[in-house]
Amino acid sequence: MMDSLIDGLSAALLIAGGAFFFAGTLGLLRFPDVYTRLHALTKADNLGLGLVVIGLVLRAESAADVGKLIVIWLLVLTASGAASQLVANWSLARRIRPWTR
Amino acid sequence: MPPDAAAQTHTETGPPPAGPPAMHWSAPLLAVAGRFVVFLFLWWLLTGGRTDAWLFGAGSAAAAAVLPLLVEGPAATPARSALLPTLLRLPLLVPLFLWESLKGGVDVSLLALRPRMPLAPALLDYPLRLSPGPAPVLLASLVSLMPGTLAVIDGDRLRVHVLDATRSYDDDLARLERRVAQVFGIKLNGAPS
Repeated sequence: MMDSLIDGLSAALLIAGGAFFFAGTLGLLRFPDVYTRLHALTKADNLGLGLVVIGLVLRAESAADVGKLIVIWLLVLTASGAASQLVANWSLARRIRPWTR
Repeated sequence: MPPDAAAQTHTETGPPPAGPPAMHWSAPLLAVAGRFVVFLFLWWLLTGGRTDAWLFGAGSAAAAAVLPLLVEGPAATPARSALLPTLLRLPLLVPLFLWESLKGGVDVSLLALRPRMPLAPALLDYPLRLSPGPAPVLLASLVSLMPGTLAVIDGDRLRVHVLDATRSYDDDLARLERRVAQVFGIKLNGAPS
């Protein structure tokens, strides 16, 4: 009973995480300029990965696996945060003007 | 009593402790060693303790540990004294981080899914009241997770790209800046309150 409940919750989190990755990718394709695309990538992927990690933590078999998943999350967060800073910084330095309606 | 007093004066007149120079030569070395240990631990964690590729892991950890020294020079080694309390206070930001991540992710996802995306982007400047260092970096990262804002550090200001220029973000930014200052245990420059 408890196991199937956790399994279901984990599945729901994994699917929700995938949905946010999908929305982030859609934003990457649909948004009009580099800055708005960075919004989509940083925020939607961060949330998507977070949900996937929590979903997988529920299925983890050992505390070491949980630690590993959380470290992966933190490393990806740091890397994507730094990458988005670099891309935005580069664009600003090249005086790429933000898209306006 | 007299022996105590004698002992007291003795320690007081003893040679003064060697005044530490602005930065001891060992500080950058300690920083490299510390980073190496942390990266090695990460490698160990990520590989699940397997030893097949430890040479590659140790090499990568060593390269990553030395790299900041090559890029920034030894002068950039930060003061270690304030690091521990800051690390201990960092969990204070976790609820805020999770909540803003959720709001920001849902917000931008809904925007991307709407047939006509209601975007009204603009580039704003937010004058930083945090001194340069790791604090503004943390602030910029948090601001970039908030709904509708993306921040880049530019000297003593934050350049904030917003998706909806019709609303004001100043209060949110100031609130986050205060939280970050709290975590680092530093005062904001020219803070009114």
